[in-house]
Amino acid sequence: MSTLLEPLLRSALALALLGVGGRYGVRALNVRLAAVFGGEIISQTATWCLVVGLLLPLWWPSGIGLDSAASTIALVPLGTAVGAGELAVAGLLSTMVASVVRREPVGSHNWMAVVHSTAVRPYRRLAQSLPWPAAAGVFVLVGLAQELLLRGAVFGLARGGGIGLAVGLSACCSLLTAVLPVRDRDGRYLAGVVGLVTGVAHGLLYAHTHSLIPLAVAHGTLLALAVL
Amino acid sequence: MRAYLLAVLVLWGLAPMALASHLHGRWIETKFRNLPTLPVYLVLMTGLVGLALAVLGPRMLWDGRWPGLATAAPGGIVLTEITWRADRYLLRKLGRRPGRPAPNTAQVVRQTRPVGIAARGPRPATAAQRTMPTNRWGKAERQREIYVGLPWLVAGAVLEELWYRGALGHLALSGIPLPVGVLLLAGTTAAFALSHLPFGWRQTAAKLPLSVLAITATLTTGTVLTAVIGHTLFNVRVWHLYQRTTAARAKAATG
Repeated sequence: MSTLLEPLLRSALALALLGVGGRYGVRALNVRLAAVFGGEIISQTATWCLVVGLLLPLWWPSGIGLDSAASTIALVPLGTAVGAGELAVAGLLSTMVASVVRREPVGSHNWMAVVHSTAVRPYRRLAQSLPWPAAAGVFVLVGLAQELLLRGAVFGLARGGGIGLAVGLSACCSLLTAVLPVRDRDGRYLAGVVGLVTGVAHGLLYAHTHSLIPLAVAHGTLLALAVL
Repeated sequence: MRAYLLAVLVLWGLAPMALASHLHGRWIETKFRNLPTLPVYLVLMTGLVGLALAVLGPRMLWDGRWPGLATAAPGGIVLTEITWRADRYLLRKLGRRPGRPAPNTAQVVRQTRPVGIAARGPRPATAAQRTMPTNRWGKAERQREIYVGLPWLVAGAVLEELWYRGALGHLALSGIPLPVGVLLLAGTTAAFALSHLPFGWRQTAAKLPLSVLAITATLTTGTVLTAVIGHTLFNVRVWHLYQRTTAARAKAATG
């Protein structure tokens, strides 16, 4: 029990700091960074790198999950398939959530609601202004930044607490990072669905393979299929 | 590698209709206007069943006990009778209640012609339309998917049973911890019902008895054959019902 206490306390502290920081600080910081960098995605990624980076330097794990080239390359096509599957599950769940929250029957106005929501609006704007290969490349880079923090760093934070704690903490952090930057209530619900699905799936996969590149590809595929 | 393969099987398998519908609406329908979603869904399901057979092996379809195979045909007929009655009962019970009407599915976007400096750049509405998926599952799409040929419905029944009860049922009961397996089994049962969500919550709820009884029959007999026969006969009844409805409507229209 005492061995679990330290990772549990660390996780609770990090979640509390992320929650409070995200609630009061991140949106204000995000607006300022958006003014400097001129792009919502860049500012969001920079914000989260800054926030999580400030919290986690003491608990950074010994390895960050950049495995050998051979095993990583073999997993990349499967990472693409995982991303497509995550979009399907998140899309179905978002249809249900949108139908329940808006109290509407299922129809074309809420089918795959997340694809039309403000949760993916910055990515859609980026896709409209770039050729599709460049946009897909940016999505993979965004995925890599998020995976480095939400899997690499968070698993280091929860070390010693077992896979269950690590996956749970990873899912909670994914949920927070997905929900907090979104401003409207409807978009927050739908972003939460995506955060939860990717958090659980990527957490379980990272716990088994300790490889981040395929997960970044999965993240990029999810965004690309949703907005391209 | 195996963890990723299992993740692909579970994620794609829990929402194959959503994936097929998204791919169809965004990329396929733009080229083949009148192609329904069902063929895309069946191709996807065939690929999933093939992948599951490669990863899990043929034991996912039959555990090797002969008594289960012998009782498959009568069991399937009983399954059809019970689930058909339950389906009709639930559809009647959950009939449309008075309340807020369904919103208009075709959202009207009023656009004005840009003039002056605004007319020089690209029109934002055009760019947005280019990258937005087409609207899905309005009344027209539902009608298109309902009135399909009998072979499509039979193929759908067989593939869905091989997938939901065979592959996912086998996966839930072998090689993973029991609590996770029970969750996956419940998720699989719900996922089959939710694959009918494009047709509304009523149809989704009405398909729960079929889902529960099919997984029960598979676990009891040790083979998916009972569920395959039961689901196939169920879909044949659905097809007959729609044929009768169409004929009655045509007769009423012509007098």
